[in-house]
Amino acid sequence: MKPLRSLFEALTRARLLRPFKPVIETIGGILLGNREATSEAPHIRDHIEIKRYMSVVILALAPAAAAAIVFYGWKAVAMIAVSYVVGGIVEVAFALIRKKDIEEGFLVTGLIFPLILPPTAPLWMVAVGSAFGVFFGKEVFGGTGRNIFNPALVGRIFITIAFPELMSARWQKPFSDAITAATPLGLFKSGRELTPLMDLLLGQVTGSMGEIFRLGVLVGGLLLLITRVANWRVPLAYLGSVALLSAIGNRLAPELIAPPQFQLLAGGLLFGAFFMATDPVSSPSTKAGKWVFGVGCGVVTLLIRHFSGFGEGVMFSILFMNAFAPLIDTLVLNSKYRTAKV
Amino acid sequence: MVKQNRSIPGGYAFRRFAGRPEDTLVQAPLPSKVRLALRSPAGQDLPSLVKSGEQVKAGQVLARDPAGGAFVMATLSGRIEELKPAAWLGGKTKVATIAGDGSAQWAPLPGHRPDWRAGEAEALRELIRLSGAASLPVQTEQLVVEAVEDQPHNADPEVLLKLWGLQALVEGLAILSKAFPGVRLHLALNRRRRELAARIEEAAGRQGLDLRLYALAGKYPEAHRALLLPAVLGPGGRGAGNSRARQRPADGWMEKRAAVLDLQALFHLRDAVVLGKPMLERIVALAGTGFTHRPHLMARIGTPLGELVKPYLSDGRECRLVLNSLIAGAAATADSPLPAEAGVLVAVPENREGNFLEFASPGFASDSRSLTFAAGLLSLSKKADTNLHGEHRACISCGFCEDVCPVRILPHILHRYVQKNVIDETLVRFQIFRCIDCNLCSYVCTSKIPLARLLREGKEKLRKEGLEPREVGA
Repeated sequence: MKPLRSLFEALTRARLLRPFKPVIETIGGILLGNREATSEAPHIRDHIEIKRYMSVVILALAPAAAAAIVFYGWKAVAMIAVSYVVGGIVEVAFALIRKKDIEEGFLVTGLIFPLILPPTAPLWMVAVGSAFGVFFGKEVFGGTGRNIFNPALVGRIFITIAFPELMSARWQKPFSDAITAATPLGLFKSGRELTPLMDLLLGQVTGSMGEIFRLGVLVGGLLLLITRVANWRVPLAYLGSVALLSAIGNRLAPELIAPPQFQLLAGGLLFGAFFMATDPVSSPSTKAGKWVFGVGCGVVTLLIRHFSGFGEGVMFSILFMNAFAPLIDTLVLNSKYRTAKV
Repeated sequence: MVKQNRSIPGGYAFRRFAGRPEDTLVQAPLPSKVRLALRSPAGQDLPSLVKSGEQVKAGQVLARDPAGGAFVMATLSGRIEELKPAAWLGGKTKVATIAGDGSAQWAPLPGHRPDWRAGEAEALRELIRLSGAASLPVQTEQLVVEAVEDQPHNADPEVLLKLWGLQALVEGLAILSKAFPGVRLHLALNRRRRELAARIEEAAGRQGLDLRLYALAGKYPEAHRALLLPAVLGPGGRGAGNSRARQRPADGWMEKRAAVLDLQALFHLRDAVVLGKPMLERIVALAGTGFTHRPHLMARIGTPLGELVKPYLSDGRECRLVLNSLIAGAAATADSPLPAEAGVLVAVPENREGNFLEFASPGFASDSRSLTFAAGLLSLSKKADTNLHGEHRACISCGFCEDVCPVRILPHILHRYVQKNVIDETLVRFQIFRCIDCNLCSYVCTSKIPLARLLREGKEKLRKEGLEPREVGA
């Protein structure tokens, strides 16, 4: 480890490489860890760090990503690679301009983004969306920790609106070359057809690349909850409100609103609830706020699914509620400390 | 009946840290010298009653507050070698250095009588006060003896019990109930100590002593006075209490009428009354992987720590000595004297090198509140060192600090105001003054933000601006 340490120290000092200092320091940090020791109490620290935190999210995404690769082969690999490379260039460019460390949050965004795209999405579109998401979703706000919206969703919504035809009418079932416009949610909307639950669970349906192998999404989501990396309140409130409201809705208007078991497994709900609504930066930071946020996501998702022209509402609902997160936090704080004596 | 499941909101249980103290007791040799600060526990300088060069006897009062009751006594017989201001815990105060004359004798406390049961309550209280073991207000109505073991490393109450015996413990409690008529006695233990609690309960019952026992969860900072009292006594203080105290800790009533005593102080207080022995010694447990052996050491108060721990420190590894708590305690040097409130002395290895690919390692010995390391998932023994274990990053609002905060404030919100230097009523409204400086938020922070330090800074700045609310600051 010592020779490696001195190598990185020499590289950081090298005059020629000075513009790339943040890159060198980041790589050094990843390999060698932080040398800094505590200077006061608490004299010891929890071993959790952002790198570990983000690594666990990537590990939790692994089953869904692996399924995408199995289902769609090299196309999926290429989409993930393009997303990482293009998003990475934007991230590194900003780190160099700001002369700050490269932030690890990008490693998660860069993987989530291709997973929420249709498998038919052309690679140039992956590049455009990834660059847009990282740039407008995160860097313009000041980087990880300061963004209001989930960067992957910002990229996704941009290309959805910019290229509606490519993004909503060209789906492809795993292991098949046929292009179709039908998704399970669309089939229910047009013909009250309920896709078998087992097909939904195992991903033998059309949908975004990473959302369809729902068994893997569930396993990954549970890993996030067990390790405490994701707060359990948001997915519970989100999935719980969708289940409850659709059960009531299905009872009242079975023609319009699908039953809860179908709602939970269709579309991007599980993926969104576990991997995007739980993004700590863009969701409310207070506990009560997380409940409100989750329920809000659930209500908006159902409204869009059944009362709008769009087939799926997960993406819109999370972005919509992201915009309200600061307001929710403020209201929670005001009510929590209303009676406080000053 | 041992009352179960008493705890605090939030908190964190530090489990299975390597380097636990052994269950042995070693009498440390008489030190060559002791150093004693001539100031009150509240930090007030006390006028000295002795001169440099004077002979003093262990137990003799060296300095006393002419108005109040605070005093400092010699803990070693010998000659006052030096009497001059020196750096002390961040500040400066007059420090007496006594060079020992090799005699282990001590001056018995005035007014002590072996048949203490026949004595007056007031005389007993005076003996307890003079012993230096505890300073309890006369109007004490509720007294909690504490052996909760909520730190990563704790002294073993069984070792104290092996030395003094169950009888002495019960006798100490009996003394308290006589010295403070009408006082209600409580004993808070860790819930792992079920067997010990049963033994104590039985012994107290045989003496007809009304003692209430509590099994606490062992979450840090349960032993903190402001949290222990409401957890044990219940929200109102007087009553039996709920299983979880969720109200504002330590209101005015508790400040005045309830007291916390650590278990060791109870034994010293008993020795003062029964044997007339002032508290000259403390039992301090050595802990942490920086020591080769970790006995409980019985040593004179004021012994330079370097002299005390030298035989036990492992060679060739740089260690940091920390008193009582790795989370909230102060770092000590070889020169620092053993304080009267010492219970544990931890030698934690310094790590200013970092670890190769640490973020991707399984973490078989890494402690984390998140269950992202093997040690947490598999219940393995954990090794502590002083490294930050990660880089400083912006707050991602993961909420860990909020989850662990025992006084239910929001460090992740508060620290932003202090960082931006927005020091105004908003911080007071968000209850920054409820913070008890337990440092747990800094410990768990994913982004390695020194949250507790920022909160302290915020409180200091508010005080300077005169924005501290009176009912909390009093």
